[in-house]
Amino acid sequence: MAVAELELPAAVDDGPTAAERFIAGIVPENPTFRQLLGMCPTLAVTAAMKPALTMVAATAFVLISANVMVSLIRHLLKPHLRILVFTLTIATFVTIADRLLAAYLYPMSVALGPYVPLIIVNCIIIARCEVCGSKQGPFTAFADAVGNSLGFLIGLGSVATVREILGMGTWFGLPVLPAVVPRWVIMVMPPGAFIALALLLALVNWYQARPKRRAEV
Amino acid sequence: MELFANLLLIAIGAALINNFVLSYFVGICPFLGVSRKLDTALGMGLAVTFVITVAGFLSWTLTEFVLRPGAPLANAVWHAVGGPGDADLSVLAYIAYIFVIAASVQFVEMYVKKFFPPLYKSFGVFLPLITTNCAILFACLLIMKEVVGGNWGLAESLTLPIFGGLGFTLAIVLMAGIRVELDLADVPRPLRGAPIALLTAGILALAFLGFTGMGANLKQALTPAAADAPAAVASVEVDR
Amino acid sequence: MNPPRASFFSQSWLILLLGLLFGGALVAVHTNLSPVIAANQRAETLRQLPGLVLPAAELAGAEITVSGDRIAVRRASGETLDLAVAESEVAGHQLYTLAAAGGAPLGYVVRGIGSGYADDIDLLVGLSGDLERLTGLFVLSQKETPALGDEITKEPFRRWFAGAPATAPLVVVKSAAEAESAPGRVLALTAATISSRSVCDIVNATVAAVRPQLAAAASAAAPAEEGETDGGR
Repeated sequence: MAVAELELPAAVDDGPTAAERFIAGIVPENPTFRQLLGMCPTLAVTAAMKPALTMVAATAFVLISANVMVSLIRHLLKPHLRILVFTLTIATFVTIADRLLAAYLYPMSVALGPYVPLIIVNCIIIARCEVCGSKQGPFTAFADAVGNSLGFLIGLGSVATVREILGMGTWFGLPVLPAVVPRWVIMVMPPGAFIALALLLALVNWYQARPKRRAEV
Repeated sequence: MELFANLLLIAIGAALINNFVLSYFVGICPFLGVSRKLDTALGMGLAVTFVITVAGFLSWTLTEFVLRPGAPLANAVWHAVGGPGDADLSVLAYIAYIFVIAASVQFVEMYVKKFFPPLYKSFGVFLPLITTNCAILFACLLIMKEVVGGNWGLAESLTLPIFGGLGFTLAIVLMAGIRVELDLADVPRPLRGAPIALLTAGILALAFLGFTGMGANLKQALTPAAADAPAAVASVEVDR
Repeated sequence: MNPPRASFFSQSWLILLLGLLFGGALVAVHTNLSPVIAANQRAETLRQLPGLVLPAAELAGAEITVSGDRIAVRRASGETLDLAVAESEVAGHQLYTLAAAGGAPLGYVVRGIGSGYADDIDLLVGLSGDLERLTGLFVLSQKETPALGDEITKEPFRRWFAGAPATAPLVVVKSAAEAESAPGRVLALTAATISSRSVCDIVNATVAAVRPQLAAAASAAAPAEEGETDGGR
């Protein structure tokens, strides 16, 4: 009886469809460039492409698993305890991802270091669980998670590309800049992370404002 | 004396040389979100320091007595049920830490609400959001690594969060001071908001890079010369 | 609203159930994966040992596999060299002794840790079986400046340590001519003098601490086995 009284309102199954969720996560609501979530890994692991993509893979694993799991139990959630449930679910999947990395991709695990457990507090995952997973069915939640993962890939991939090419002249470890071009080493150090992300964000803002500027002119 | 030297190194390392925000990139969300005014920035910095210290202490206790391989309480239960070897609960560490952090934030929230009601009102939704602040979990993870490795005791495990939090406060206050001035400047439209803040953070990070190398020199100054180390005669003057 | 005590269980049964389920899943993951992870950590270090003790020419194109305490080096020519690794501790340093199966030590690898420019440097240094020469250097972990200090991990810097005498401390010099003129000299990296000096200091301190003890152990073993030659090359 107490359970029924405190039930969440009926899950919003007539919200955005799976396809809409999927597309939205990639560019229009890109987690890095539009939602400005998940800054910590975006700055920390993007000194080179390989760690960046490993981080995207780990985050995608956690995001998809947690979103689907939360969606499956969405009718059982108590409103004031739901954040705890999200957190518990996410922390479990992050531990699994961390152990899997250490067992099968050990050099990457060492390179990523403490940033894999930090996926637990990556705002993207809690935000998606809250906005989509706790309100819509598993398939929509899955599509939403995949879309946001692709968006995250674009975000991290672009920052890592800029930093690795400018900073070390390589991409995925393969040399791409001729040796005569000096390496802008600061790009692979902390200040470079801030600067690269800032300029990419400015580029995205500028691109988004183009139609408005044309209208003004 | 050696303990004090160690603590000093940890403190300066956490606050300046490896600043949580500008070097480890943890705690960026409040750093960008709450640094528009000096007083809220200072308040947020001190709140985070308080939470991080409470959470750090609780996670040290949990790690030392329950989670690490061979922890006393876990071992007592494990051997009581006849299990072989040492109990190792470190796989539950992440879950344990995040709950400790959520509990710490609840505790600090209750404390602030009771004793500083106007401050509680001005924080609004940002106080519970400290739970998702990477800096706190990061400090807990650092403590776990050193405690499991057998290097740190309680003193070191408290020094890191306190001075890490103070370093975070320093960075956020510096940032707020700059952004207050930036509000009066004519920033190009694409750069307004997050981009200019990130650029400023980048320049701050560049400045803090100047603290690199301080750790090694401090260590040399604080530790007495090792008795049996042969003088590595470098026929070269330092030119870095 | 229901009285709090009565509804505690009905409120939190989901969390408790999930906690149990997830806890069980994690323990299963841990039981299965922790041996693999521990083996990975050990194998990372062991994989470096042949390169630190055997001459580079022998290892060109070779495939190294680690299983337990044995390292198999399959050379490009097809023949396999089986090495046994014994781990111990000497003067506070981790020591790995490499021997061909059943033979005398081919060489030793000692681990040294000390301060670098930015943070601690953790390295492995190879000693020949007769303890007369250094046979190699490998940096396990460092946080030096990228492209400047972190060149200590790369070959041009490491080659100064292969063949250097272990009887006297290494000296860091600034010019290539000085470095080539006599053994036991290390050419400092451009704009990374402190990182170069740190590595030499760590190597010197490690060798000075470990070599007398190893020599004493070797000479204590030698009278007992007349006529045994060591694997010095």
